[in-house]
Amino acid sequence: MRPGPAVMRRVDLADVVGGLLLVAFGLWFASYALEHYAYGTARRMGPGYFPAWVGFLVAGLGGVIALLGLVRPGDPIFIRFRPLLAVTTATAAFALTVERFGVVPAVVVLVFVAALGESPFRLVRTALLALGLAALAVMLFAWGLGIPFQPFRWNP
Amino acid sequence: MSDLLANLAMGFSVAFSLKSLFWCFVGVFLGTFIGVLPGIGPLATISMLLPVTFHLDATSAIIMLAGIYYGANYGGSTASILLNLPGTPSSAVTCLDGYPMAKQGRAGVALMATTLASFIGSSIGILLFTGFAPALAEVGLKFGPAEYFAMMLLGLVAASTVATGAPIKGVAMVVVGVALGLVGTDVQTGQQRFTFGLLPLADGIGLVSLAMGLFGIAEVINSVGRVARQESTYRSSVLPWTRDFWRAMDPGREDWRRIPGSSVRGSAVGSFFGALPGTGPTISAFLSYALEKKIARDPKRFGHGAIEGIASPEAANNAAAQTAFIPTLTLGIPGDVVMALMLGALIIQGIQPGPRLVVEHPQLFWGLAASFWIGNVMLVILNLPLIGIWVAILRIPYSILYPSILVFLVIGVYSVNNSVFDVVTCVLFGVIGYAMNLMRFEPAPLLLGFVLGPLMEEHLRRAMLLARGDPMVFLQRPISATFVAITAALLLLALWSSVKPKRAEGFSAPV
Repeated sequence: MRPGPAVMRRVDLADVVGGLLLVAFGLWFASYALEHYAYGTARRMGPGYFPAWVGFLVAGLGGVIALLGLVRPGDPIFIRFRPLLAVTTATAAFALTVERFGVVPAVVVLVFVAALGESPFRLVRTALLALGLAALAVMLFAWGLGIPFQPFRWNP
Repeated sequence: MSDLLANLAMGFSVAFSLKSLFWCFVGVFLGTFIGVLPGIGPLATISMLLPVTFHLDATSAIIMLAGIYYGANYGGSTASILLNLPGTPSSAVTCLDGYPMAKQGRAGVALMATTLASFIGSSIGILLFTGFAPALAEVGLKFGPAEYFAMMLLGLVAASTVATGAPIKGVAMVVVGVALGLVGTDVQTGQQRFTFGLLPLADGIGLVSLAMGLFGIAEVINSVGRVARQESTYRSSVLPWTRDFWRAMDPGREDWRRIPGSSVRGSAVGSFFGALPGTGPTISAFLSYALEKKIARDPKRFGHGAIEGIASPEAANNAAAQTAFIPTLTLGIPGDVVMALMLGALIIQGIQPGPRLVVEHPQLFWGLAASFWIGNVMLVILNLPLIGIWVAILRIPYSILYPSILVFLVIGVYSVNNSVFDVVTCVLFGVIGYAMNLMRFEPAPLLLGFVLGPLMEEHLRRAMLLARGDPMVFLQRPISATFVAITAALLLLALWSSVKPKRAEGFSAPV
């Protein structure tokens, strides 16, 4: 699994990027808390006291991680865009369709888009899977558990 | 003693009700199922089933979730033995000797040995659970807010530093989790924090959306196109009443004698480390393997199909899976992330895990203890005579599996409040989880921090109010001071191992 020295980078990019993101998040979190919520005293802590310190702690740890990442080599980062896009689009498509057309169409859309994450795309298999899962979802959740689902609806 | 028996009798009457039996079976069946399948673990499954538990009573819910957890350990070894591919991280060691056994044509023997060892491990773990949990709860009743805060601190630091490859990144993830846990309405002042005027955030970020995003969706993104179809060479006759079926599982006299001793040793290791925060089934399995190798008369057999090498780790991870419930239920301190999910599920049900749980919800506590026994008996039946089913399941291609996982994830999230907002949050955390994965930040500590964060803030504020704002209170009270000292030691150790050149990949938490 581990790539050889040839592809190793001189800095641990993952730690540097991740650490810096944590610094940004932590500082934002702390400053937002200090700005909007009462700080209080150590004895009577306000709603801003704990979040402010949590934010600073995140930022501090992020800084240490980034610094340590600068002084040692690490593996490169590979982003696999195809599954990332397929899965997020599929779930987003479900979110967009479920209120408008109901659970069954939403599941069918989800399965078809998700199947694009892998090649080859098999039409018949995907269609059968989509219908089967939609039926199963209605049976298990709506009938089995009694959740008020609408299998179909028209509310574009 | 008679109290214990009366309580157990009550527990069995709960666990033997038709409803409990049904949910226990669902739990252990699903546990074995996902344990066998590489690419989906107990964590993702328990996240997926959290929404279902909203429609059950608390006892059924926890019985089912627990069943998934310990059931996965049984199933995990099956994939390790037959495919050399651990179904769950806690069964990774079982590959070392289990797969060589399969190659020698002794797969049936290995399956028999791991199932037996698992049962022995579980039994010892359950005995300790029923014996020690009520006693520990008595101790916990004496704790004040300072002790609770210090203990949670220790739990979080231990879980994020001991079990991960990069301790400092683990600690950072815990704190990020604590930050996310603070979103929502502040209990003491009613102030809405970090909600940005979004109504659904007033109750905080949903545990279901967060867990399913980080573990479910991120894991699917990560596995699509990677998990190849595996073929097992094991051809068992699926009919358990034939003689050949059982003959293939007979270890022979030599190995029969080795199973009990190694199982008991493994159980001891597992029971101990399972109850400690931060060290769960996975570490227990590795440690017990190392122990067996050390005390063996002929250590060279290990790695070439030594039966102790599979019996001991399997006993250990099952014992650990049972004793992990001790601190979770009696102190409200989850030792690992799966336990954090259980804790979250109980809190959602309106039950606060802690020293009062045994007294206030005896039905739940003793019913769960009794269901452990029943579940483990079910597991032996599922994993020995019915092994053929699981071997067949190993042939399901991932291209069918992952859209199905996605459908259940998304519908599960949606069903909690019939809310599209929850689905969107979940996808967002899925992307964040994938990014964390790319940068090798582990999501498990984040979830632990998320569950414990709000409780920690509450105890901290209460402790400081009682101490009139003097932080020395955490060092003046002996129990709290001990926890703080251990925490500091762990942090120093973590810092040291972060500065020193990168060590080999650690054991990651079971996903």
